[in-house]
Amino acid sequence: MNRQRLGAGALVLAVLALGRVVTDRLPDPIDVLTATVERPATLREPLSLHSMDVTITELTGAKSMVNLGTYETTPGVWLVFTAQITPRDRDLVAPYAAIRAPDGMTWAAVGRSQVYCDSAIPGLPTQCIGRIEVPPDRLTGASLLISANRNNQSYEDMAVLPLRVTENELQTWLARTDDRALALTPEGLEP
Amino acid sequence: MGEQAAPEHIAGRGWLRRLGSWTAGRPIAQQGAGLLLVGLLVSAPFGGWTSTAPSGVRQVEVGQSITTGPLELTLLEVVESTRPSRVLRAQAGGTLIFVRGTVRVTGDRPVMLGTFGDSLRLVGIPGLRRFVGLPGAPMPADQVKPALYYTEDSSGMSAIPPGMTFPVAWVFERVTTGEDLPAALTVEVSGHTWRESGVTRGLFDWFDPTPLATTQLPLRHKPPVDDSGESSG
Repeated sequence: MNRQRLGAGALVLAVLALGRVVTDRLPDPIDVLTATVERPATLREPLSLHSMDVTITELTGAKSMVNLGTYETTPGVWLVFTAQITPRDRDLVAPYAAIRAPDGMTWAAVGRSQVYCDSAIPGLPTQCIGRIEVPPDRLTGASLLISANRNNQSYEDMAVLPLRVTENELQTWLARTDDRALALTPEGLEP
Repeated sequence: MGEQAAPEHIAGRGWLRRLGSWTAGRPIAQQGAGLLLVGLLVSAPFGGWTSTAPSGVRQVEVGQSITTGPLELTLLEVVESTRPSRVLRAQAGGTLIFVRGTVRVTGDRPVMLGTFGDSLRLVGIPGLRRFVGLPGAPMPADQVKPALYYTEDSSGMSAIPPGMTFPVAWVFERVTTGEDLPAALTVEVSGHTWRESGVTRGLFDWFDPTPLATTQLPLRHKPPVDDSGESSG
């Protein structure tokens, strides 16, 4: 009798352990539901996303630039892009933009890197300009990502544009500096 | 003749003796549990079994690299100025104190102000306040978070992107107290731990700033610059 009870107990434990292993190996249903769907984009071609239509119209770069009257430089390179975005059903508050290297390292438009859009009315196209500072040696194989919501990319899809920056283009960008005379901050904090 | 009560100290010993013999008669498991309980009660006034304050704060040299978890820092000097660049100036009656150095993110995502604002403190400097461009009351030095600026262009940083080394200044403001600053200032650097949030499931981030290292940095006075960007001193 005791042996039967022990056997039943062991069987229950084994089934529970097996269930745990199977559960751990299945994807989290919430992750699956909220995952961002990536859609390949082509420069200057419109792409229809869940919350907006987007056309990435221009890509360029510079070592330093004047931004809203303020001179800003970078230890890397500023990647600058323009895009036309038409929000579909709701206002575009602040789009998400980032550069992603093939190994997953990501430079999002936060802090000094930013995206600005003219207006955000559903149905009307708005012009956006973004700039993201990245290490120049990480641009090979990198992509530009644009999505509708800066704070949350869940339940959304995302435009993914391969950058395909050539070495010549990169060297041109690294040599390009806005005139410091235009800047409000000719002197930094260095001695 | 009535029974005379034992003196107080003799009665106390008798109580102890009875407790001792009662304890000796208990099973060994109960004795162990009792010992554990007594130990916990005795330690309670000293904080119980909570972890003790970190004792691993190390002293580092000027320019020596410090890895805090999310960041790799080097600290070079402290500079005091009322207007160190065209765009940065102290409020009237104050000076800016900034720690010059470099910062680099160790991971593959940006590190945000909420994290790196806790990475550095000036120690024991009276009259400090946060540099937010507005008047404000001084606070204890260990509560004053610095603002971070990229020194090449004096632009504020609310995020540090990965993969690049930034020459930076951690900027504090100090209300003029009439006391001169010492020739060398102590800077405390805190580290963070990467762990899952206790509130939001699945959210991993850098938490728990803990003092990690201190360094003594020389102080330099920088004359204020004028509108052309030239130093007036």
